[in-house]
Amino acid sequence: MTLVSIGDQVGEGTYGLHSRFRRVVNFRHGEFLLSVVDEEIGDGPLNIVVRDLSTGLMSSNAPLTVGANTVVFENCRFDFTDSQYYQSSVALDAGDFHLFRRNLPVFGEELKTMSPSKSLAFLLDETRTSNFRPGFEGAFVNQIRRGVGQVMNGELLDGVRSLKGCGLGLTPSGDDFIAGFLIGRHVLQQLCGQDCRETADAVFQTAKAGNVFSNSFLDLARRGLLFGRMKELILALVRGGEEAVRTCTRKLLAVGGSSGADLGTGFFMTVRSEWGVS
Amino acid sequence: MTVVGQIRKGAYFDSVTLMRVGKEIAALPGVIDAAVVMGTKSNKAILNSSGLLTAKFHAAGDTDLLVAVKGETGSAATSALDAVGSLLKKSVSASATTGDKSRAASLGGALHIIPGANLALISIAGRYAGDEAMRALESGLHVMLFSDNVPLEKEIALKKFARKHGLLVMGPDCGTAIINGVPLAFANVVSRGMIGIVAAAGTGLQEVSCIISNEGAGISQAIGTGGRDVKREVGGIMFIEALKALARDEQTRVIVLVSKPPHEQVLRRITKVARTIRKPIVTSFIGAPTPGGQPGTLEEAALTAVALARGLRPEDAASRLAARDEEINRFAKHEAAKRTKRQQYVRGLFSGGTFCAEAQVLFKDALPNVYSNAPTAGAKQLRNALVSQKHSVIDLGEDEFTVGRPHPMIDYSLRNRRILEEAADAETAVILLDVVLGYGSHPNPAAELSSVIRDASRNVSVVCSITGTDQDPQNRSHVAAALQKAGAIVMPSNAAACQLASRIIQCLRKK
Repeated sequence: MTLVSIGDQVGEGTYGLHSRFRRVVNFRHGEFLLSVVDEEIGDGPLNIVVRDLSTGLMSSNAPLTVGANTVVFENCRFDFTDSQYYQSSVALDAGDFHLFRRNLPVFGEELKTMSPSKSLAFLLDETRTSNFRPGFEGAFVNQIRRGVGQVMNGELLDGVRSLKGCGLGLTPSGDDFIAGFLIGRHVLQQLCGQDCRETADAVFQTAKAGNVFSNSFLDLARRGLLFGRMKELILALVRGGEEAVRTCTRKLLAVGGSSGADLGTGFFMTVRSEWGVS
Repeated sequence: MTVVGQIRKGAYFDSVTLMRVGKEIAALPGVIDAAVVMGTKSNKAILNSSGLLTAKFHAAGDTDLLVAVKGETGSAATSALDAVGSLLKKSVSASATTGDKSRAASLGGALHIIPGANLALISIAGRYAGDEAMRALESGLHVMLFSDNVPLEKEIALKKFARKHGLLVMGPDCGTAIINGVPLAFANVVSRGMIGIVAAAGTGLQEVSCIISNEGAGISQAIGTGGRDVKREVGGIMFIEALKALARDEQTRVIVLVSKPPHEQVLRRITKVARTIRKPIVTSFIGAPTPGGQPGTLEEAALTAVALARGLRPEDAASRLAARDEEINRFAKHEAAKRTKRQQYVRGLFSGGTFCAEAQVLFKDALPNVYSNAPTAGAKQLRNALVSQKHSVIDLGEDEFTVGRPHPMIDYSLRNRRILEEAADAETAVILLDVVLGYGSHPNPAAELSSVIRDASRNVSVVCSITGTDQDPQNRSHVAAALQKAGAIVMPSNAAACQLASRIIQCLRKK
């Protein structure tokens, strides 16, 4: 196993094994998380990216220790240099505004056409609701629609309450949407000089719950700390051409079952509602 | 039609797996609908509106997996539910486990288990603690020395050695710190952020860090030094080193210094170093003069730091608190109206020494005849710490209360008795309390205090502050709700609680 990169928000300490998936092994130390991931998943503020994840980490329950420029797991020690830190923040300025606005519809179109069937992209394309079965899935669609309606119509915190924890998996779709909203506000803050911190803080405080994964994910979003694919997408939106936007959107949509699409939908709708881009 | 459900506690699966399993269950014979979801409040609401909620699901939490099946018959639903285990097992992409815990019997053993460790937390008898701390320093580790009763000469030697080798010694008698986001000893679960704290006052550090976190900002590092560090003999060695460390730390944008007044020579040294630092520095030297618009209370220091971290003016914090004063005045009048003419004194019963000191500072100009077992700011020495005189503020963490028994943040029995005694005194108008949450503190303070507060609040006003966050194991909001229900007036900070207490007394004097 080789250490490729380490997120800039990974704190030093000893972490116990939390959960394990095919490409991700999660570790936890109190409220703090880190994920050891393979290169396919890629960079993130709390990710340690490794080559050959399958060796060791997939079978051992040993704790993982992060020290200054060192990661220790069982009897293996991985040293890394400062150049291997992944910088999760992105610096934008008002000069990026015009291209971003021009690229945004391309991103929206890609979301509508390429998102997984059961993602929140039904919010952008009504015909997608037919992908959901009646019964539980239909009720899920209604709950999301109600929450997003509240968020977009000025009842922000009520909307967040409706959305939080709504959906399957470790980071439910509703939480992904809220994270997309927070990232959208953060980008708006940088591009337009709007001070969104109070709103972001209030949203985060309202959205926080007993799911340490969502809490951590939302906290990072609030602070504008992005995983690699989201950062690449934003950079493509502000500085890239149409093709770069499409490529980066597809990479985002490949995140999780529907996580990337849900996050992207939240981000897109937040920015669109501010600028009235169709 | 029958609905059956199952809770799988602490089981984690990715959404793709859950979607697939839900779909496979729904396709089984006789199944009308099915869902496999995490047990969040929203998901329960969705289950409810789709007719899949069972009574047992109410007990599930956010990290539990809920499996719900609606079948045409009871047996169809139950068979489908029975199949869930094997369907989930099939999904080899997911599993949930808990890591092992490692234990070591010595410093060497601990270093063997965690070769990358860079800090040792030492909590052993004071007479051995100094030597162990030196061994840790010689191994290149920073030290948090929780132990007290370490000889002064030893403390000085440790700190000089540490300074020479670029290491920190937090303590002796350092009860709290937050290093790289990890709460150590008596500390709270606070958000990470860009505000760094150096404190020679333990509960002061907790109060400031919690207020900052509750305001939505966060802490980069919170470094305790032990109260003796800022005395003349030690000379502020570690206070200054910690300040320099925060100055170098890229994550730290604003620095807060918290202490009881340092010795004047030490203060001069701190000031000299502070002048060389380009980051904003907020000081809260409780009881020292506050020149140059520096905050007067821990709360104001925390709010000022938050304002600075957000690029706002420091005066905004003071204006906000001034606006709250009106509210406190109104509340005080309302509370005073419930008291009799004989009731005229406040009795502060503190588990945190810094809070006791802050109370005396705030009472200094507001109330005459303030007595304490740990007097400061012009308060008079109590003849007997067990018997209150006029306005009394008691530090229940002082040796006279803690020799041979746990600290009052852990064991509430002594204070509870005292609360009832003070409430039975016909001259007591207000009982003032601090409740400190976080790791190390009592796991359920509301259960300990509620019945006592219920009894006491029949006769007196019980005013308290809660130092903690909603992320603490005790959950600040839950504790506040329980104490309010019991009859306490819960204020957002120790300073606000002290202000309310003194205003109630002032209103009573005008009666």
